Amino acid sequence: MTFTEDDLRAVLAERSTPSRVPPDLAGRAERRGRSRHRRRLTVGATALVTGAATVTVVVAQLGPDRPAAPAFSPSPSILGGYGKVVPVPDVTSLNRPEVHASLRSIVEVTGTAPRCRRRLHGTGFVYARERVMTNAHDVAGVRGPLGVRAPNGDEHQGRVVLYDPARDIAVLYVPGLAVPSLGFNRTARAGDVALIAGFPAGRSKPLTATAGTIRTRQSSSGPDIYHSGQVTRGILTFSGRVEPGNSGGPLLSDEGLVYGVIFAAAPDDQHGGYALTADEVAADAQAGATATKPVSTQACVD
Amino acid sequence: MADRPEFGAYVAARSSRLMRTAYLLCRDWPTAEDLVQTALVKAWLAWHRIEDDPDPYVYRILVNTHASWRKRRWRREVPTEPLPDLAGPGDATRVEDRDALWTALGALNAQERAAVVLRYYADLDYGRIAEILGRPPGTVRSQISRALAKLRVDEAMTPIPEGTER
Repeated sequence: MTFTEDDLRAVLAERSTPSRVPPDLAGRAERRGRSRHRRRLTVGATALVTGAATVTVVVAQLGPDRPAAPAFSPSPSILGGYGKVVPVPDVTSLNRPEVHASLRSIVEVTGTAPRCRRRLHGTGFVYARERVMTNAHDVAGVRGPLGVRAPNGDEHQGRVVLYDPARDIAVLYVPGLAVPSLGFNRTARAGDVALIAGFPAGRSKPLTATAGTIRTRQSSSGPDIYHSGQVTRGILTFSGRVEPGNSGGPLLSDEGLVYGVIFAAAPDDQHGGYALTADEVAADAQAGATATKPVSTQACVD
Repeated sequence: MADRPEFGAYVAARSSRLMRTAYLLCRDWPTAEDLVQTALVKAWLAWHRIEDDPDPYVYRILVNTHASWRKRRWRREVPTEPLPDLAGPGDATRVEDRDALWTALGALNAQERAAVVLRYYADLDYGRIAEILGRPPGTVRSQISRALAKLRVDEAMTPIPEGTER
């Protein structure tokens, strides 16, 4: 390719133009700097025991630029009849029965990708009858049935019936999975409180639920999961604690509805993560709701 | 120490520039915002040690933070993060030279891209860039010319289609 140094200057200037400077950068940096002196992120871990089941819930304090720092709520919410206790962080609006009930619809997804000798682990949620939505990268390259573990401990087998590597969405068909479906909420806005729920701890570990706040709703361009092309997607960026196994899990509203599908952590893990908006995944949700035919999960991702 | 008016003034004057520089490093706006935020927090904490021109210091934090995030990023899980080695346009359509150049820039490694951005976007001389990157000026010079050479041959490389079979 022939180009001059001026071409290079022009490209760099051009491509960096739609620069939206976030409001009050200096103030936010100062507040964060100050509170870093006091140890910025207080992470409390609490274990509650019901019968034989121990559930650990990690509560991450919201950043200091957030309106309210949630304290841990000692009042547990019972997943009725499920034998497990999942306390919800005490952001008052999240401590509602709808939110507690919605946690029953979150499942752990596991699979094996023999060609890259990898076992995959992620989170999914039931959004339609016997259908689980998760990230495509959570099931990429998987052969054979997927393990789907319901919050009550029941193990099911599922197969991928929709695989969308551009959006990073997969839908699993899980016959016999008798778990209520979550609805979507397409109205997520900056400032809304949300719950990050999933199975970050690893295989067969309990569900965790962490509070976060939606920071922005925007469209973002980046590579698809195979880095084979650029895609532009509607995403939510949010604060809160996101760990690898969280991906594929829902970002829940205070009504227990799905604001978005968590697919990535911000590179600095103190900064939260990214979720695909409910709008972005709507087409896949609809297509997957009635699909029963297995589809290829293509190759593993790096 | 809580109130350093110069910090606010500096950020007000430079934030747009910093955002753009961060974007050119990581090529993703949400990440750029986090990068700038992180760099500014670090800068704020060290403000009393910074001399008259904070730019080199702040640029250095931007570059180093970006490099450390790339190392730390999740396996498979950060599709919005910096573009790794991106294959060229996968189909036969001919893209404009500038698009190709932008794509090729994405294929440079983080160090090369940082040097190129500081040279051709921030318009710094080799001495300043060397100071920021913590490398001798000669190394920076050769790194940049190597990066330019890579960009020149990029189009000649046959794009390898990914994502179907490996």
